[in-house]
Amino acid sequence: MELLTLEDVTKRYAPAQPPAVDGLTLTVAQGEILALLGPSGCGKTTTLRLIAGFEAPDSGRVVMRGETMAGPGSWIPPERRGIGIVFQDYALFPHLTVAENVGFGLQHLGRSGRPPRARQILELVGLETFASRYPHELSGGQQQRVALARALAPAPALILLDEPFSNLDADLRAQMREEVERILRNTGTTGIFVTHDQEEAFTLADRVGVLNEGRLEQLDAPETIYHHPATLFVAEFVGAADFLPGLVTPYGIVTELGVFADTEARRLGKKVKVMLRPDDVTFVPSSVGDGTIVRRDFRGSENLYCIRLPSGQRVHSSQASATLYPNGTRVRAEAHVIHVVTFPA
Amino acid sequence: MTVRRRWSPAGLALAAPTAFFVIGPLGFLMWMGLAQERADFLERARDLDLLMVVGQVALLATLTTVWACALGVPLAWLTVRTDLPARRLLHWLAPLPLAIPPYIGALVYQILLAPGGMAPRFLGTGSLPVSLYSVAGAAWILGLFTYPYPYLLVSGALERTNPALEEAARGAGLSPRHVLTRVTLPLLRPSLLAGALIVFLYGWADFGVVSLLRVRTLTTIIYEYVQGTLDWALPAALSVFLTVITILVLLLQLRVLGRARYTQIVGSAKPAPRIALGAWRWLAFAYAWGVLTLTLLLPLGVLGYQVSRLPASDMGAFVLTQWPYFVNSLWTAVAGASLALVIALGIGWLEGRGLSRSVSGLFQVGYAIPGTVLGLGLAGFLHATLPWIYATPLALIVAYLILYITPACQAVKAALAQLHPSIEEAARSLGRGPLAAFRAVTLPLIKPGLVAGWLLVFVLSMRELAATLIVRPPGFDTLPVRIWIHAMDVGPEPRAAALALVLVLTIALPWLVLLSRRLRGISPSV
Repeated sequence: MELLTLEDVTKRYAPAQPPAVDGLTLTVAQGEILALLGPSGCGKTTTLRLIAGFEAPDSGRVVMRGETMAGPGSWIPPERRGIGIVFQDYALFPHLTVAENVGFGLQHLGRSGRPPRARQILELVGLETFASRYPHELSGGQQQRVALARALAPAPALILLDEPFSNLDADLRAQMREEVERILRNTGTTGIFVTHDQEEAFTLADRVGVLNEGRLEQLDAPETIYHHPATLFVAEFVGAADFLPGLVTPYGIVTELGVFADTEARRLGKKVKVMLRPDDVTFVPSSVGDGTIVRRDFRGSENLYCIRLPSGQRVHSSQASATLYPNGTRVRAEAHVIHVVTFPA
Repeated sequence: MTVRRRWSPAGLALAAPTAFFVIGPLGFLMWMGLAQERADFLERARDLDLLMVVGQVALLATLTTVWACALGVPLAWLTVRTDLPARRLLHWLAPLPLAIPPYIGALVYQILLAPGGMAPRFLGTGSLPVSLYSVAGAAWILGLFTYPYPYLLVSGALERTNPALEEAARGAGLSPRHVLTRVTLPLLRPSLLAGALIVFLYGWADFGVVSLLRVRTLTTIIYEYVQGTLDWALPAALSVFLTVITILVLLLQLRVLGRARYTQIVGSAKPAPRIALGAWRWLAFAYAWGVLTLTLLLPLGVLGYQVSRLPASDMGAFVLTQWPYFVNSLWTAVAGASLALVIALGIGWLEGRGLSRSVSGLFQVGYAIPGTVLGLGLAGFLHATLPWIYATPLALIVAYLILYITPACQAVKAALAQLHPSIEEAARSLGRGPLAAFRAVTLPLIKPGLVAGWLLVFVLSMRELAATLIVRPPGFDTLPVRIWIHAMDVGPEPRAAALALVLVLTIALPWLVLLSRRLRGISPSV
């Protein structure tokens, strides 16, 4: 069942500038976790603010559970939308304790009803012993959990998270990611979060929407986004990729690294670019190979080799980190592409 | 929140009375000043020797600036960047003389140095070779009691200077002396200039000191005219001239301060190393305490000594007769400060919600008007338009509002600027409307800033003299007015000192609170 729909939403901050969000249409299902992924300035935070009601769209509609939140002639202010928000800087109220922060959105429960609910939510995030502390007395991860608890306390149907893990250390980030997912799934809360980190989007979200210059480039499951990027932008932004020039022939797509099946039935004679992920490319050292290793980046669990082909084209190949080949090694490179993705050259 | 700059109904509701009260008096003066015959004006200008007077005021302002900077700037460097003994205590004491209004400083030095005063009697001569009743004397007083402005600005800049810049200069092979002259001092230029301009304006627009020391300036001529004749034309023209110059200097200051931001780095990781003064430190020590003696210890001592000269019962009876004036001062200042804060809060709140900036820009105009000019303009304007306010204490409160709404706005704005907008948005997303969110979250968080703003306007209103003298209803005297009248009519004697001491002590407490918050950018109030 769909919970939230954006219909052709456009938002412009200044008349002279291109729109921050440009004709955005998407639907979020009940219980789903959606990631909005894109570089800075792509309009993902503006999208979140439009849903929350901190910005009004210039055109288009924001609909939640069939009710128009924003659209021509209708406007529901943020406080009556019932949407929880976790801010990038957490925005905890520094003059209130953890329990008071969490109880802030529970006015309808009255003075006696608030503490039990606050306690219940704090237990959910594992902070029940910190109820009487002030935000500045907590670590970054704990503040993050309070922010989540505060947003969850009024039991909103939808929760928005703006770059939720960007202020955390790398090791804490992975842990909080798991925890947030567990809490959202356990409470059945629908979540939309904004990130520029594709790994974060892939591990946490059911579906990922890739935004570029205010437009939705692709909205799909993480695996589809990675293996079948709809546009060149998505292919380049999500994961590393090389683009090998090729020609569509009756036998398939002919490239410097062999012939690939033409799964997309391109027009014959058309020049295309074949997307190669580093894990699609392998090589064997060979004195008669026509590729040359020009660079090796040690990545810990893997080595990323850059191979120069005779035409000067470079491709990347990720290999286990145990075996090392020095720069200048002659190799024979091969591409084993399961999902052939091409773009017009 | 959608920020679309516009004129909302609330903005108009704020702007209309503001424009009325801020622009009205100035417009009135311009109209009166320009309405007269040109030949007539020139003749009277010759009679008054106006060119000479203008030159004299310019000289006074310049001397005051040089003197205040000579007192404040070396002291700032010594307390912030050297191993001067007792530098912490000095740094804390140095801004305190701002609690002594310059006209009280003039009273103190009259008691000390005037013919027949304490010093000539002590020396056994009738009078001193140099007269206090001169441009130099007025500059001496004004400089002594305004030096904290350059001190605060320069010491603040010194504290914020990135030590890495000086280390880089050392690394480039410069000696400590050359680092001072080629890096440290050039970096201070904007704050030094800003401090100097505040003092310059103080000297340019002062009324209290020059009137007590019988130095003829534009403000005293305006006041004489207002008292003596019903002729508005000449004082109005002089007022417009005074204000135009003031606004030009303020615009210059805004430009300087705008540029100053690029040269300083706030919150550097570690403080710059202190320079060892060596054998010079005791000379520096003597200099620093010399400044504080002249500006703080001596004035307080003189006032205290004068008070002790009268029998306690006489003094008590006298102070009791003056009690109503103290109450007048107190309640008008409290009302002015509270109203200023409420309006400033309204502006701050609306500005965060898309209120056109030209509204708060309007308020800044009041800040540029010298007290004497505002008094004259407001009195004339209210008399013509709102006679029921004219000749009531309300007129005084309106004057304080116009003069000091800007510092109140600055305090509110500074407090609001420290809040990230997401904190109010968080409250909105948790079910509070705009006003409820403001009350539950924003207001408690900006309270310290609001208290500081209130105290500042209270102190400034409490000591206001020039505008009050002209605007006050007949018989409604404030403490500064009583002190001034007493010093003018009776002379610098113990009873005036007693009133002055009461005023200084009333101002000192809020002032100490403000200074302990290290409030910067104090307004040039006259």
